[in-house]
Amino acid sequence: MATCAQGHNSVATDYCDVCGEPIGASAGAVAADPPAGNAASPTPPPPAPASGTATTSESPVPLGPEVVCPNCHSDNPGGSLFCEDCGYDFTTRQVPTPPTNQLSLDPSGSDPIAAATSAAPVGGAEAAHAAGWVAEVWVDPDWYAVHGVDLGDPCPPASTPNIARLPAGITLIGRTSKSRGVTPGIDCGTDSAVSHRHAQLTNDRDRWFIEDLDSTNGTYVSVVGAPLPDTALVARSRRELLANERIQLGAWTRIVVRTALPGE
Amino acid sequence: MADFNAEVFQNEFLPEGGTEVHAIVAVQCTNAGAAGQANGDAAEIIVIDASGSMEHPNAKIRAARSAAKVALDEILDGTWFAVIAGSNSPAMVYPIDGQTVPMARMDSSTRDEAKHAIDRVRGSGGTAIGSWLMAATTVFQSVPSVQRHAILLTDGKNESEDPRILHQAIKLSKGVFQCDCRGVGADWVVQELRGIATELLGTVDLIANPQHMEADFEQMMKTAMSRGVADLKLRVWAPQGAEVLFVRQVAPSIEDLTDRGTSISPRIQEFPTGSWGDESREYHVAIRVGAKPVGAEQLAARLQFVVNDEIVTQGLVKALWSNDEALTTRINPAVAHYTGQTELASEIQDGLAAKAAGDDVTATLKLGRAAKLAAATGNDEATKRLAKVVDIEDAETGTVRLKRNVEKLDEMALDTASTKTTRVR
Repeated sequence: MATCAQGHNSVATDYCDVCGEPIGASAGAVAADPPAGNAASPTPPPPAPASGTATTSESPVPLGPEVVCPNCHSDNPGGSLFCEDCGYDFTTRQVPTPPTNQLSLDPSGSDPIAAATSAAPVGGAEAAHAAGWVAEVWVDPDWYAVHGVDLGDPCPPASTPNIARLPAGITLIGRTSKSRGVTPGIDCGTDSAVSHRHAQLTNDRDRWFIEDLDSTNGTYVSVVGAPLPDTALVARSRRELLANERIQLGAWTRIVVRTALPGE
Repeated sequence: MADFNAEVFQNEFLPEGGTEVHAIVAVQCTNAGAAGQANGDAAEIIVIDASGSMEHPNAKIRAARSAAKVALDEILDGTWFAVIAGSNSPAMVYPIDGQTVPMARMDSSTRDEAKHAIDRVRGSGGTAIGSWLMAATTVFQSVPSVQRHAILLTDGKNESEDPRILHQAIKLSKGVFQCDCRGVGADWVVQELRGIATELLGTVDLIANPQHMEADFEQMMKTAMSRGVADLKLRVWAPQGAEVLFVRQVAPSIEDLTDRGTSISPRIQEFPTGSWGDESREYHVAIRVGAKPVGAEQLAARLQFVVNDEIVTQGLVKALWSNDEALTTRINPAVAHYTGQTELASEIQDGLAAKAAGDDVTATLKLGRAAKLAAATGNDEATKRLAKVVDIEDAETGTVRLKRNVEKLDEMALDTASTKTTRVR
């Protein structure tokens, strides 16, 4: 077991298992510390500052009045006791989350934490996949400038998008109408140039398709980075929506379909 | 026991503020032995397309029958094996009482029986590849083998089942067996078979002429039988706060492994690479690390190759921050070469897709860029295949013209071979 200049315990003796710093250079000074007790002890280990500067002594680190946190590299005012960003303790040189011995590269070790974490991310990835898709409904002033001015209402200020979860199957894009009993999955709210039943999104698990439902003002697909489109989609025909394509409709509405982030 | 040796090629010097570290690791395997020797049993399944179209012309089904028999000759005695004929649904060809005994041990008498059974295969019905894969998975799982490999031959596209079934079948077969896919004729979809081969760690290729099928099957089975290492895994360790941008096999062919990793500890991801014979493969690994002050050194990645949870070799990817521009601006030739080859593959695939969609402008642009890259990286095979699809006017500037009448087979050959790379000169 070795300890690197940052105070991490490492099974590998060439480079630290946690941060990847070379261990050999200052091994003499660091190895003298009892590594296990050191990590938990609040008293500053005397040789640590010397070993810390030893590894980077060739480098012209501009310490000046500011202190650079060796853990997260953010600048801190001189004389700080802790890093304001990550909580690194400048006195004991202890990193905020004390590294455990389970970070070994040796897979044969029978450690429960490594075993547990090995299973977790798989589940996490599955969960992210199961979390599915969302649509962001944006107010797009550029679209308004080209298509919306003639349609009447003034454009509302652009702000953060409304997010709508997309269930598997079909999602209707439109506007809620109580009298007609229309409650679309993606509600374009105040944009009255959007028909109540405007268009629909369908998916087959990996791909999305957009289909205009004979809307009054048409549905358009724009490509990110390309000029805004000026021909609407053919009504009642499905078109695949690629990852870099956006749906434009109404006077100012832009819809972006993307995979949901965890927690959405 | 096989011997492994890993070598890392990189420019470890990063400029001030630099965060991206690229490296090529070349792994060489020697003394691999034969399949099933070192670690228990090997199992092989041959899946041949027995749909109606294989009878038109019937040279296809005849070639498939004799190729399957040639492949049987290559399977080592003692190996578990089975033969499946696929159409609307899969049918066991051998073992004959497949319902009760799904796989047989290879010896001279089972080999002869299997050959007779193959002779009786006739083509009729449609193509439902997902159901074939599902059957292979079930059959494989009926015996306690550790190294499973299949050959899948088809001549058509997956039209007799819902595409979701194929999708699901691939997901279920993943990790159960490796699958080399072959398409005969011009009526199959490269994208479909590539999807299967990529997920199931196999190869995909075109057999333009049924006469070449025997030699191809023989070669495939020989390769499979020489793979004495059942499962080699690549473990990538990256330091705290670093991000693995991608992990990609770049030689002998391009396979993106990035999404196949499983985390085995907070900083270690493990990527399956399948079975190995005496061969060498190269991987391109890119890591983003936090910038450090000039003069600092950091290990950016530890690449370990693991067999049965035992580390057989490792390579170290380092980062050294320097303000010497002569050092930091140097691009490692191996990294540059494989970056070019990867781009070449994607330009070819995108160009052909654009051409198929009728977007000639994009197709000309992409294939022109491909011609330029192929010439620049010395990939003569790619240049030759490109020249059958486009007229290369000037390879240096990437000026090409789409040919008027292109053989569908030439286009498919270009597509299937697009991921094959050349080694660094």
